Amino acid sequence: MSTVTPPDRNLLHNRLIGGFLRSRWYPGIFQWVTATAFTLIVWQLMLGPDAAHDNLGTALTWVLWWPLIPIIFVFLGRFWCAICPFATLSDFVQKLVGLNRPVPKFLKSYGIWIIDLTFIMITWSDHVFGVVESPWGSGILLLMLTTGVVVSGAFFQRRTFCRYLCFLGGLSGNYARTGMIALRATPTVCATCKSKAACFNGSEHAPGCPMFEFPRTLESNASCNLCANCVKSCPNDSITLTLRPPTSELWFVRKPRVEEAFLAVVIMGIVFVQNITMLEGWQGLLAGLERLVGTDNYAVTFTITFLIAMAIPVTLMALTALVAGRMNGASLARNFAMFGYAIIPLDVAGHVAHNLFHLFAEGKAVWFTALMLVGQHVGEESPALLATGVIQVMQYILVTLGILGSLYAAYRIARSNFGTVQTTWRTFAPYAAVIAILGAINVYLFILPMAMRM
Amino acid sequence: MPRRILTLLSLLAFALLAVGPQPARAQGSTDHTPVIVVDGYTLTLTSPAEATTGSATVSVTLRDAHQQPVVGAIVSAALLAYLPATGGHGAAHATMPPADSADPALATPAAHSGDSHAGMAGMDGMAGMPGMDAATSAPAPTTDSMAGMPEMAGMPGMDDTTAVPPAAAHDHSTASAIEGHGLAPIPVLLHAGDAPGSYQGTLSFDQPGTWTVGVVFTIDGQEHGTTIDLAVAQSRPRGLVLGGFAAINALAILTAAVLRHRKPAKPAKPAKPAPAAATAEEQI
Repeated sequence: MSTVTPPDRNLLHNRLIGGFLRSRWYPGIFQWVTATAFTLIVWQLMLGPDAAHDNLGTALTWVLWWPLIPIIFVFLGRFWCAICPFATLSDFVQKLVGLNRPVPKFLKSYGIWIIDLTFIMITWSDHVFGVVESPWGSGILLLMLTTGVVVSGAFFQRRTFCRYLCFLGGLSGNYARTGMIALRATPTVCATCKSKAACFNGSEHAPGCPMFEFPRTLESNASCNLCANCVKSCPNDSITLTLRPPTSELWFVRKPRVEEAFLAVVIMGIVFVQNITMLEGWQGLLAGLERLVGTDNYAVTFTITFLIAMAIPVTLMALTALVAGRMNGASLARNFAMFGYAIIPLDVAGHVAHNLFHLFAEGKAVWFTALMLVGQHVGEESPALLATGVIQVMQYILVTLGILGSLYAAYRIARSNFGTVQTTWRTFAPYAAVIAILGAINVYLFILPMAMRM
Repeated sequence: MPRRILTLLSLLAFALLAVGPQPARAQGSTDHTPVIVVDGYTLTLTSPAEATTGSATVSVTLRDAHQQPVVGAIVSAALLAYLPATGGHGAAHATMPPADSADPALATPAAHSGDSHAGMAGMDGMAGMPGMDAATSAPAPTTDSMAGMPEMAGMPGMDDTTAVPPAAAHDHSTASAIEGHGLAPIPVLLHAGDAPGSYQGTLSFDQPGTWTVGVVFTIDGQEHGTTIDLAVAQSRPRGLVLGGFAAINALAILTAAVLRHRKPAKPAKPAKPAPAAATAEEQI
């Protein structure tokens, strides 16, 4: 929601922050770093060592970047998307040969469903074909994404791929709603603007918004990547950058969308799958499933596991929406869409907690593999940065924070949509129960010993 | 800025490639050329330096105690076992595909090439050869796991644990799960090569990982044997895949360039100020 921000709360009024964001160095200086790292990663994945634990590309991608990325979303929203090497590549191709055709209507209508499906398929492929464990598989994935970005940049306007097709963009859009930093315009200033929407269309100072957002009506972090183009273009100094309580955007979503809520709920299932398949007891579970279904085809058994894991939170949320509907009179779809956003804090917490294990239990692999690149071998030294017990405590704290964040978000959503105290609490109660169940499952999964990624 | 970045990145990528891509290495790979001394004879595996799955020419050289090439020896090689290349730490299993597996590729991972001659002179004597009773060879870690390879049982040098790849050290526990199974080693005769004392033949590696190659050589009627661990990487069509992606991307860029040349892009329409509730897309 756009609000008038007191000048002292606007981070852009800080000389250092405002000056840097308005300078030509931002975000280019970060793009340099990420694009260089991306080149190195692709080179290693495609032409480097075949074994994941020898490959710097695998370590940088799956031990360093992937665990850090949800943390970045929480603190800085979609800032990553501004400096993502794919975005840089898209801009480059567009400048070179871009046809700048309008975004196809079906992408506008169904883009988020395509993102949902892509995210699910990539997770499925990872398990069935071993994308993360295989540098070659990871390299192919990056090349496929590169091709999508090049085609999009060559034919369509702005960052069509990032906005409507990137699976990570869908994830980051959801997670960024919990972000602690928000870029908005000041409506009263914009009302007097005579610049013909320089923030959207661009000016001599900077291009238009690459994410097709109009800052004047911006209400969500979901599609703002903090590229600061609007900051540079706005002639009226209308743009503000403010800090806000984490998850606060979830407390009132003006137009809840089923597809976004569905992604939030499905991510919970994906976090379950990621945890379950890395448990030391997974092989036992798999053997039991193989006996049950009469095949040891992993594609079949994993697909069944995957579907069940995704179905658990979706079914729970749908049933809860049904129960809550009896209390608040809203339809199943509306309740599902409204309260699906409440799961996001738990999603983020589960996702970060899961990846904390990889970051801290395998973090030194980045250094080890970098040394291998120059012919140095470290032998059998442990790649752990922290003891497993310490990591587990951090995981529990994170999941607890996620549960609290989701509970509070569900309460605020109920309160803002159903005025009376009685209806608010009656609506909130079943959601509190389902959040507690999902949280308990997460805690239980983190108690069990986990296998490493590298 | 992006154009400059991409130009420099292209140069960086070129430089990285020019330095020379690292050859793919399998898990547990070793950088040294295996040199083994057996009963005073020095056996050196000269190729392949970096084996990949599929057929590979295996070449060894034999020198006597005075480091003179040994000519006229009968040399054969057979695949005994392999340690699969797996993704994660602790995920490796000292596994040998069961000989009775329904999957032919797994049942006979040591599928021999056309120049192999089972039962050839010197090869039928592999069982019961001197020193062949030692069964702690790597990576087949247990006595029982040798059960499926009676021909090679007790080969000299089979107690040479120095050839154990590091990853195998923690795999003894998992090996028991496949006890009683093993490869059916089919010896391949190595023909004399161009250089004196060199012998070569073709072996087929169906799986990536560390393979244990048993080598038996007969000199003056005396049979000797040893094992060599060979790192085998998964064969990848790297050139084809990279070329394919490059071609698709180039085609997309070229198509866009041609279309833009024929019909230049229209400049974006300036937007009218929108009501506060309208989205940018509605406004445009």
